[in-house]
Amino acid sequence: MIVAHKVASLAMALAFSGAIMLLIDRCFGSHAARAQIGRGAGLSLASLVLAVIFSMVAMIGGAALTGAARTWHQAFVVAAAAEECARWLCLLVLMRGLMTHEVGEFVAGAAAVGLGFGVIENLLYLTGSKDVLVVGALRGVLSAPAHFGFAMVSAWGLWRWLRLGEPAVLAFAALAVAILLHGAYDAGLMFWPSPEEWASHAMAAPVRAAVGLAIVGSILAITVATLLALSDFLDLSESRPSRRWDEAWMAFGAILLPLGALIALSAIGVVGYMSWSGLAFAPMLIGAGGSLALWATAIRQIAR
Amino acid sequence: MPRMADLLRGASDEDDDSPAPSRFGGGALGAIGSVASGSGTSEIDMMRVVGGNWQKYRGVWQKMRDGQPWPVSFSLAGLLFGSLWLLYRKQWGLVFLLIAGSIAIPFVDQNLSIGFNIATNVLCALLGKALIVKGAMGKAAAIRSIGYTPDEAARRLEKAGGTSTLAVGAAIVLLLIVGVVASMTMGANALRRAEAPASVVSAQA
Repeated sequence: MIVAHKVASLAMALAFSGAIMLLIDRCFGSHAARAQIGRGAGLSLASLVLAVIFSMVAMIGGAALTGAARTWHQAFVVAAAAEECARWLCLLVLMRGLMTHEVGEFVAGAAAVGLGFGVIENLLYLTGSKDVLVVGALRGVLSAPAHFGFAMVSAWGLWRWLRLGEPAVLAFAALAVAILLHGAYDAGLMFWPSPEEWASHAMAAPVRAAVGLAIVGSILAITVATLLALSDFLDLSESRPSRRWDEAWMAFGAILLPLGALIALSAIGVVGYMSWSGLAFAPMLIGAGGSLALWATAIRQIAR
Repeated sequence: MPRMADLLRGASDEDDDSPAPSRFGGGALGAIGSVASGSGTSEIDMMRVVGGNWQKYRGVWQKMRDGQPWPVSFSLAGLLFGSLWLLYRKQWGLVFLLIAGSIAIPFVDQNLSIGFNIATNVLCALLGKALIVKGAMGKAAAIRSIGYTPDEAARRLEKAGGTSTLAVGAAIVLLLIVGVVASMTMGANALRRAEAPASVVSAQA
């Protein structure tokens, strides 16, 4: 494999996460927040180790399952529940070590916990992959930012519970939402047919369309949940750059609806009724494009 | 001069050179703390954040206060233990970057791996102390900017910095587990290859 391909795939796998971290730093940046970014990155390694341990336990628990039940178990328990519970514990540790009472410090640390996990996971996937450019691009735009989103949702619940004194059920509900979003995204990808299955029409076109829509829908749901959590954090932040964020939020709202409709129509039209195997990645590519457009708009508006 | 209210709530003396011993809880500690505040971070704060072996970091901190952004200072522990030493010194972000690099570099080119490991240890040896002092200055400034009571500020400074034997112990245990699992897997694979007929071996490869 050419070195240039590997370098390009690395750049694609890492650049978008870097852009999101810069966005967070711009919105919440302070001395304390920057100190927590390093701490959060370290905790992301701990969350990775914990997630592996939890996943192994979950795999033993579901060893007897077969077929679709096994896939559901892998998506929602082995991957989603194990990773989100590990991240939740690390966010608790992060919160215990905060230096100030400013919410931005926690958000920056939590962002690093999520993105750090996603970045290391991306690197590990790249080392075991042959099609590095596709893996780097898709995982860079979708997977690492998705981990950031799950971290934001869980962090939102924890902050509301432990710092604002709201009921504990809110924190656990936020964890449940993170697990559901994570599981739905993973399940869609796991049920998606391989190129061989696609070519042999092992899965009917309407089912393929439904799975494709589920993938795109889960990506949109993750993006919306992340931005809602971020929006609330910015409202709580003392150093809130309100005008900038309001503009970004309006821009996001203005493009979300037509973009969502466009993605849904594309997914139905392209994936459901055409049977060209090269389009096997279409839902993911469309979702990635939509996600990239949303985030790019937010970043551009905030940086303006 | 800072306002009385600012002094009472333990405000930072970044904009003022006048001594404010009350920030450090009075006594000898307060006296030391009030002496050095040229770059916005007092020596007692640095002592609390850096923790053990502060004397070995003091020279680097003084050079930074004199305007050197990255003073070079040799650290044998940094040279010998590299990222493990950074872990002990709670430099979480740097450890993360080194681990990410140790995965990414061999992915690009296996031959660069040894060079990367040597380079990181040399970097730790020469600039490790400067990195640690810079991080400590940031933490001290962040805590001082809040206006905690002197006792609370001292507690938070000590909590934010120092060293972590637990992290090093956990990393060593983890490395041992990974090593044992990897060697068991490799051993089992080697055994299977030795015992299996040629056709199976070629299928596995």
